[in-house]
Amino acid sequence: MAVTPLDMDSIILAAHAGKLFGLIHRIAYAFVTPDLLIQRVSSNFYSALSPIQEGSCIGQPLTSILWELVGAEESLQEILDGSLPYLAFERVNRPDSNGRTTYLDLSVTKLDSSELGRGLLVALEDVTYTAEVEQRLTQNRNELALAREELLQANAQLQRLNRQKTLFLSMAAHDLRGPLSVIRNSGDLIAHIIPTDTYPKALHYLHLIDFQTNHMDWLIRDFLDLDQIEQGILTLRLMEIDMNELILKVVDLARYLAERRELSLELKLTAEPMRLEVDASRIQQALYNLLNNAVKFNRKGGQIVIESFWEGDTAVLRISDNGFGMTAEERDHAFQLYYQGNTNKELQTQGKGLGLYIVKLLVELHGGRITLESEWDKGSRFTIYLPRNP
Amino acid sequence: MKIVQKKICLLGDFAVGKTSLVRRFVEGRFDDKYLSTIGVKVSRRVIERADHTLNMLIWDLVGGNELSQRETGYLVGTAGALIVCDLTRPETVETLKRYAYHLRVVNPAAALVFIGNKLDLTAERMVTDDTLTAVSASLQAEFQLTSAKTGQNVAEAFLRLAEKMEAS
Repeated sequence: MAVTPLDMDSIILAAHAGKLFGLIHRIAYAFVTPDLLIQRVSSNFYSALSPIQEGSCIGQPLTSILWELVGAEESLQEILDGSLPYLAFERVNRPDSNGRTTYLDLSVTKLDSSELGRGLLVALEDVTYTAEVEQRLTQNRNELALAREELLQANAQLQRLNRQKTLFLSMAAHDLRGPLSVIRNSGDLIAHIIPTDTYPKALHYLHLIDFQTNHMDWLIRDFLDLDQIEQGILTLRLMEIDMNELILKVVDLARYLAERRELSLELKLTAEPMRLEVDASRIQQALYNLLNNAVKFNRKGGQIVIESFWEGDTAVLRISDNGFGMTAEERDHAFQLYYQGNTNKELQTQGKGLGLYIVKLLVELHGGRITLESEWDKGSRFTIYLPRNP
Repeated sequence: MKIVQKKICLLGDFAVGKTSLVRRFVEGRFDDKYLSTIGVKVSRRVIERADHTLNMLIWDLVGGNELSQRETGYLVGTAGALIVCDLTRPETVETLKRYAYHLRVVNPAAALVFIGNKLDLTAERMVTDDTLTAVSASLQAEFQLTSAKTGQNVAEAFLRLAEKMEAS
């Protein structure tokens, strides 16, 4: 295709279009001689570099006005030689006459015109509007990243502290077991030595010692379990057992305290065989914790019902009471570690926020789940679902 | 007296205090408010040397984990660099070598000084001298500990870089 030469109208139009483009995009130009002196500038050049005084640039070294080009003299020479097409620096920060930052995209390329001669064309585009948006985005991104780093550090510190705390509890629990065992054994010895018909009250006190040392033993076990669970080293010793027999054993353990509080214990156990492969001591521990809670959080003369039944292939164990119950908030956090609900004024006791957390973990280790229904002043109902084959 | 112009760059991850170091050195002040830099801000400080006047053109560059092509272009003509990490953020030390590599690709002879900034935050400090010694030794550079907030060692770091540039 033959190239048709442009007529004068087209050239004039192109020149106007170029001017319009420069105005819309806020582009200022300068022409620089090969010895890097500024020879001509567009009328908006001074405002682009405000607070530079009008007319002050002509004849000045380019690097004294655009000091961003100091060090780039070699590259500028390469542009003049034609070995480098252009040089560009984006988002150059410059303070304006009000101290506000303006952002300029600076580019330099070769210009060889019949009117101006051989030299460099320097273009400055004011990109402040876009750059300010970019700055805000960068600021937000960086602040988020810093906040994330802080959170990670805080989290790591909390984990270290938690580990130390668990280690301390675990050591304390171990140390408590020795003296506790001595107390219990001494109680047993006294029971054998003292004729209880001579000292009728002694039997009552010995029962009390036995019950309380057993209770302390359970608490210590909870603390030690927590350590093992948190380290992920708690393992189950599975064996097939009769779940109803296990329930009766747990009820026997809790009976003394229930009787002291004049609570009735009602058993509704399935007549069907309930043989399950579980870690008997762990399920016993879970049931004991639930039953102990039902006793503790109940009024004198209250009622506790213990049920067992099958739902398909799932064994269901349920402990219900008509005690104090929980508020909606307490219910929502009941299985949370160290969560302590509001102390009931009638109750004068408070949980340690350990028992239910461990019960849930033990049940889940068996592949089961636990649910809680509770209403303030009406009572609570805990239901454990255990699969026939864990 | 002869005037010598040298371009130096400040490199390092975001929020390590590059802008604060430049502000402290050039304007002698500190602002606690963190404002992310985008692009580049060039500041000047004239230093009188024994036999010449040194005009330092200090390029405060955008901080980020990776230098893009745009930012690598800023390094053209750099005579030296201060590569900055935050003494309270160990992850900012890990990237020091990467910035040094980018600089040396553009100018293998560029002088280098590593800076561990925020020395005033003693309780939160997590980067040891040993770590910085190891990093700088691997690149035949040296390091300075600074606080843009108090001004401690800031001028010394810039002047040390000036000495290294003039010696090379």
